[in-house]
Amino acid sequence: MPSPSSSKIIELRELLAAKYPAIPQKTTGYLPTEVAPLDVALQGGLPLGGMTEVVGQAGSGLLLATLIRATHQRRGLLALIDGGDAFDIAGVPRSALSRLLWVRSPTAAKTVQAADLILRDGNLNLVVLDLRSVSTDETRRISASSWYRLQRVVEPTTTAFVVLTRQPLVRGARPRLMLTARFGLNAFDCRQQDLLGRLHVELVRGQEEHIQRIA
Amino acid sequence: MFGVILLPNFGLQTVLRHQPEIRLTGPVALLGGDAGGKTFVLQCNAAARTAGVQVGMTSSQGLGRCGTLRLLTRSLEQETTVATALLESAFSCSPWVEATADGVSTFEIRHARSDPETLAGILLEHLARLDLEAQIGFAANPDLALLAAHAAEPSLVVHDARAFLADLPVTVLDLSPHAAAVLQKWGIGTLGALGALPPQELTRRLGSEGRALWERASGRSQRLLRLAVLPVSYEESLEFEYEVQTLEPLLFVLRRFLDQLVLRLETIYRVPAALTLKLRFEDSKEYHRHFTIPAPTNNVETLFRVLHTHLENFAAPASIQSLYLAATPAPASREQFGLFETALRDPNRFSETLARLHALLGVQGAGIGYPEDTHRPNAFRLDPPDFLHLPESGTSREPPTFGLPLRRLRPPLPIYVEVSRRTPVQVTSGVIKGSVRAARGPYQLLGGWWGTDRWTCEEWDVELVQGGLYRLSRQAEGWFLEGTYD
Amino acid sequence: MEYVELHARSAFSFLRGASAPEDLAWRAAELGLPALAVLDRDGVYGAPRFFAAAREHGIRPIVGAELTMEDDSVLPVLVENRTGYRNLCRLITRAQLRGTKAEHPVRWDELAEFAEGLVCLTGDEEGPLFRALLFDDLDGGREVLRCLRGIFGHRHLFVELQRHLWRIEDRILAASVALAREFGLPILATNGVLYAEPEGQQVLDVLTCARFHTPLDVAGQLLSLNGARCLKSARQMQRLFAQWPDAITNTLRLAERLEFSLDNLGYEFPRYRTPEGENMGECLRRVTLAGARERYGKLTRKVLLQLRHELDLINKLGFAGYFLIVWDLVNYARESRILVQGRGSAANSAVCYSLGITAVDPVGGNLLFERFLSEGRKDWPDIDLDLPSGERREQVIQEVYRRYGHHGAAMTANVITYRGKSAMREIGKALNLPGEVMDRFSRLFAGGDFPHTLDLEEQVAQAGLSNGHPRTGALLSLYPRLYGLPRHLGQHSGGMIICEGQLDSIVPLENASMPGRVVAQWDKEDCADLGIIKVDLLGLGMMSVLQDTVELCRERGKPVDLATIPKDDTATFDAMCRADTIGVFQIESRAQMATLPRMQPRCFYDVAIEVAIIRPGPIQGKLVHPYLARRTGKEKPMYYDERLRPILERTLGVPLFQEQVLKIAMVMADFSGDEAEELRRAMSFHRSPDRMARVEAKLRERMAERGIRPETVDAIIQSTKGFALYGFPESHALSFALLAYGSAWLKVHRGPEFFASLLNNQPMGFYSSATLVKDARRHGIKTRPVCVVRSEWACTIEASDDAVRLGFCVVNGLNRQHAEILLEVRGNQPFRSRQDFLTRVSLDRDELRTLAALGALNALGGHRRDALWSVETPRAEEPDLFDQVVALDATSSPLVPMDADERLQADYDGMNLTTGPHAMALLRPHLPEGVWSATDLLDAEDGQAVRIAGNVICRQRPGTAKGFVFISLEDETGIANAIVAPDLFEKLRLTITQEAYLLIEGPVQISEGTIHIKAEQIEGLCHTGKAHAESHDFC
Repeated sequence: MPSPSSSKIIELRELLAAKYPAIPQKTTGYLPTEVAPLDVALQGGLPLGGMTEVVGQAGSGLLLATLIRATHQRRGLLALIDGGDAFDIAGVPRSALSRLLWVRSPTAAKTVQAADLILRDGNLNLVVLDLRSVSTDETRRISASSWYRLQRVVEPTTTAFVVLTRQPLVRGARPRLMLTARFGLNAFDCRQQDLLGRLHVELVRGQEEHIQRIA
Repeated sequence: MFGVILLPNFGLQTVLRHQPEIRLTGPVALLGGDAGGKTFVLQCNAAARTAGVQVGMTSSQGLGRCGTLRLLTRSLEQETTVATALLESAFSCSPWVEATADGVSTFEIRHARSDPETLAGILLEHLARLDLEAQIGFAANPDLALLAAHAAEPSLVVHDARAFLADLPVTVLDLSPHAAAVLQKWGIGTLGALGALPPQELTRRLGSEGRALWERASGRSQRLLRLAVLPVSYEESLEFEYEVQTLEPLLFVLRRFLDQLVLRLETIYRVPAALTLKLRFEDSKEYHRHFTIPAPTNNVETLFRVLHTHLENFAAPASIQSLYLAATPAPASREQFGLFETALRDPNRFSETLARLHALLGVQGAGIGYPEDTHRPNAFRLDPPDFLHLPESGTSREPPTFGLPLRRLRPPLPIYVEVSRRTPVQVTSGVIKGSVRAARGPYQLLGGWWGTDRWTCEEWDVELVQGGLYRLSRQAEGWFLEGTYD
Repeated sequence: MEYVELHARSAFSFLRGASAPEDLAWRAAELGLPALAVLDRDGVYGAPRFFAAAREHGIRPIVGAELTMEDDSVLPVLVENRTGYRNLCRLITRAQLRGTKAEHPVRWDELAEFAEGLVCLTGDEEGPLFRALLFDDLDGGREVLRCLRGIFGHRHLFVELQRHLWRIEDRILAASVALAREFGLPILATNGVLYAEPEGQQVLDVLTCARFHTPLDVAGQLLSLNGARCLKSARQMQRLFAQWPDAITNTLRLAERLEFSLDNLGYEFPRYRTPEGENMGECLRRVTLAGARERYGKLTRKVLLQLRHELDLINKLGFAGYFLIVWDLVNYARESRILVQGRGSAANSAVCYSLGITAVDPVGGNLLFERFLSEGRKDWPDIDLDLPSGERREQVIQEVYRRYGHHGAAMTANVITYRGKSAMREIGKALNLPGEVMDRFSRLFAGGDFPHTLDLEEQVAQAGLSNGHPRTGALLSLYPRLYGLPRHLGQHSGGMIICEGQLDSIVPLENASMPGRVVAQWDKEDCADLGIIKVDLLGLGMMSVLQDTVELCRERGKPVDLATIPKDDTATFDAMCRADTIGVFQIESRAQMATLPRMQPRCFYDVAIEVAIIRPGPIQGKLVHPYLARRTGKEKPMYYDERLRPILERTLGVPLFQEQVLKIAMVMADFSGDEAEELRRAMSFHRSPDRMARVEAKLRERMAERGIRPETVDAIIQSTKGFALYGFPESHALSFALLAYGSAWLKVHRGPEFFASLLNNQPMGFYSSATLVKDARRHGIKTRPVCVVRSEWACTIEASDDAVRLGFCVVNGLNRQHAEILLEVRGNQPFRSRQDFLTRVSLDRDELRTLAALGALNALGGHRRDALWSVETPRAEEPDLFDQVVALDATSSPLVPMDADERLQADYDGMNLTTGPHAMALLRPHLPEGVWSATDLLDAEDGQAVRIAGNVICRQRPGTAKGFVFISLEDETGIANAIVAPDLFEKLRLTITQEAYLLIEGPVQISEGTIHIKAEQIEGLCHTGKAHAESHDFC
């Protein structure tokens, strides 16, 4: 049974297509995130073969948990390159863990190397690089060329690549999303799915730019 | 002519092999268990027997007779090793070898190169070097040779069977428990007495075993050996003439090994499912590594990449003296697919990637995280991923996940917490600082109370006035910031 | 503001609770809770103890239970009134009797039938509401509440809230409250208490491990999250539930409504159906007088007065029905030819004697004590019936079920508690300690029912667990906390309770592990506390022996009536004085035999004293020596106080019987009948020491008040306290003395029949069959081997020379049905030859082998080995086809006959005894020089150094003997005794306990007719293949 959110997205996508016939359909496709505001902003989901940066102070943990659960439900595979060794397995359903390759990296340099290895492998549907717990000093030290290389690596694949950051960081991130949310303690009385509606997503650099670049 | 090598007190010997300090001194007994969990003396050495310890006694009875008795338990691993060594020794005398029983090997000599006495001497010396004490018998048929080995001190060649047999106890025959009980009731204690019974009558009563026993007791049994083969393994090894210090020559040889192994396996329609690599260094230390091939294949390139990836990140502690590679055969891989769901397009490639990740980050740097079975927070283990055999999803009902996930600080950060009416009201640390708007807790946990790893902790979730949700914990050492909810 | 804890589970939830109900009551009182409800899992097991303890600590007890439902959820219910209690008992009984011992769920659809008078709570994390809310299933939660409201009604359903400081519960609490508001249901705070104090969590974890058969190390999330489930004060609970104050106030409101008390169970003892127009009192009077005329012949004035006094009292207290029903049961046994003998507190009455319940005439023997102590007594008199053990006793038990129905009668339970060994085993398993350590720990316990003296830390250290072991600390702290907690429910060996109407509305009943038996959830003390009457139907091996002997004698034309044998038989007393009492009831033990020559019993009452004196109680109270010293005239009788002379005169001033102790309390401390009864109950040994301590304090206080000197008080208390452990009432002593005297008389005058019956009833008593056979031989009674031509199933007497012919029953592994078939075949036509036997009889091969090896076929020609040769031939052979072979088989074999050693071995292998020479006779030529035989010792001089050797037939280490060990060695001439000092025992512990044959050296000690060797050196006799009889050990 399609979840209400996904059917909503399809409707939305059709609406957009009717409204802006100029925008061509993405050939490599999307990976829906099941996070409605995000899928709306991205017009369908995370681009396959592309690098998406999600910048946010609050809500990106919820996004990550949702990505893991959604991957499990789709019977896909996901790698989390956990830059600050901060991931807590208690935050996702136990059954979803078997499809999550958790890569615990102590330094920013190794984090990028690990991402490179996994993206080249091409076996995984979704790769998340979480840099939120890495200090700003360290993330700044990641060279621009590293990011370009990662982008090149991901391009020929059908992997969706997401980078979670606290401040805008990735140069040339295809779409960049700003995620904002405000949660109080009462968030703990709600299911994770029900909290997703409280996320506010803003697309900073969108599809158009990307399409242009490819052209 | 047949020869038998017998390792008396086989189980005991194998256990003692690597404990010479026990072997040389006092009384020792090997314990065995029955199905009911009772332990009793299975074998014992001469010193123990002298002290009155008998096979079949309970350990308490044994200790009662002999206070200094050392009690040991069997080592099945050692027994396998010794059994192989025994077989190899027999093969050194003849190609016709039988693995007769635990610690007993029979072989046939058709074209004697030397007389039995000399052969026995060589064998005994060889086995002694392996720290094994043996008895060796030679006689005209296998069973008689076995009896000779039992009587040997330490070697015996039987020429007059009848005279030799007369006074031997029937227990030297490998009696079934039934036959043993019947003979005991009949008062038949020696092979002489057994041989004197009318054979047809014996057969009527004890069946074919009776006949066989009678034949053996009168030295007339003839039987064919159940020929053994040395365990075959698909392996290659090389002792380098010069010590190897760089990777290239090693890889060169390994690729050749792989070619060979794959070829040999192909003749039996098999492919390698696992590889075992052993390296020996000049300081005679060894390095072992077992590689499971996720999708068994005969593609040498793929197999080579597995080894290559690993060795690239391997730093040899000393120069390499010898190299060994073995392959575990499996049916060709096609049929392995389809049975399980697999989300991997190229399992071998993934396995290689994983090896590289492990090389980069260590084995605890990548894997599948699973919660440990404990109430202790943040207790998890990292297992190697098995994306080829994923569990069926959605079979068991799982409670939904509530609230925000935690982004942990590993290790947690000490933090100053001001408490009022048992509740945190103000937090101060290098990372966060502020007044608490709302707090939930305490959540109390404890465990490991029965040992040295006793722990307790009290957790709080707090929301700061300026926003932000955090988990705090209070432990014996004070307050800690466990992480951020986002 | 106050709070009542309405949901606590005690250790009587078997492995699901960690505190005794008494401790919960004590702690609740300490915390100032006005009332407490204990809800055990699927039963009211702990309710009587909880009620008693709550009363004592001044809190109001509330009863309830947790019900396991068919979907595995657990529903707590509280009892509001008597209807509710009755419903709860019946509901549990129905589920229990339908299910198995392990699983007996309640069905949802039967709840409504029994819901009246019960208040339902929604439960803890195992409850149906929590389970739904865990999955955020609000609709499921609504469904649960709708369903429960439908069953129990709006006023009888509370939404239960528990806070244990778990992360998950905030959400569930909020949802529960929301649902409660939605349904307009009251909320109720409870703490789901599992232990009295926070430390109980560790005990609970150990019990959890026991329940799941796992050690703590891997128990993981099965263990407690924290220690929050202890009893909490009102303040603590208010703080936890500050958000919902009505959850706290509701506990008080609900508690007020729960008015039920166990005081008023509505129990009635069944009425005896009297003839038309006669009430039970009249009926009892009539049958008593008729019986008395038969018993006494002519009724003297004294007898009549006594009977009238007793009957008046019985009628006044309303016990007539009880006496009639017991009388009826005794009659049933008599009519079924089952030997029966009564004892117990009421048994010493002329009424019981007249009714034929007991065999001791209290008037004639002048043995009367005032046993109906007070007219104010609430609880029932006590009559136990001793029956022959085995089938005959089972027949009487089944008759009780038949008469009162399966819901009208039940065995009383026997609560199995964690004791030394079991407590340590459980803790050891949980802590994953090596099995060897646990074994050693267990072996360090004193045996039997003797008190244990080693202190725990020392014992743990000796078991091989060092002080530094990381788990020693946990072990030492857990042990005393686990000790004494109930582990599971067993059934009492013979106690039955019966009820007028339905017993299952008084106490829940469940299936016993033995088929056809139903057990109540309370033990006999609990039943007695609540005024439920019980009849003990106890099986005694000796009763079987006596009955069998009498029957054998009758068959052989030498009838005996145990009731009329002379009570002053010189030969019988002579045998006792010689300690020639192997096989005799009670006075055959090592300690008894050592006392008999000093005691020199010369009359029946002496035997009663002998029976009572060698008991741990009197030994503990240091009373044995004074009595014997006074008896032999070495000391003068002394009475603590002149007022005690009439009470203590018959025992020379030494209180030996419970009755005397009670009487002392009444005379010296002015105890009322009720108080004396309290003392008696405190003395029954499995009760808590606290109870005894309280009574003792009272006793001291009262005696002091009455101006009795402190030394006298101390002396009296000292003699009283011994009984706290193992008191022995005079009525029991008399009943046992009757059996002891009867069996001694039969041994002396009907030796062959007595020994045959003893052998037929093994195992029983102190000695093995082998020892009994040797003892018979010393009395000139021959024992003949098992023989397929002559033996029956049981041992019999040969008409020609009174020899005992062993029956097939002594043969190890011989199936009784197979033997019966053999007897039938033989009855049709005697066996002509071995071949004839083998052709016609269909025994298993192993059975044939055993018989052949025992020489049981020798009567058909040839020796044992010839027979062994024959039995191995295949069965189906047609004799005519192999005529020649058969002829050969029938006469001889190529085998050599067995020698004496081999025959001995074969005898022990096949039947654990030998009719041939003693093993020591065969061994003697191989013994070192100068080993004395047992009879040689009679000529030894005191202090002479000797060596003895023999088969160990008994090892005893009474806790009272300060670690001394007594060993009996049997040789071909008799039995020799040795004493081992503690240090020597410790040094040679394993030699002494593990070797079957011992050689002991030391000086002879002779005193007052007993001869001992004081062991100085002990070694095992190593001789291969030696047969030995089992020793009866009490180490």
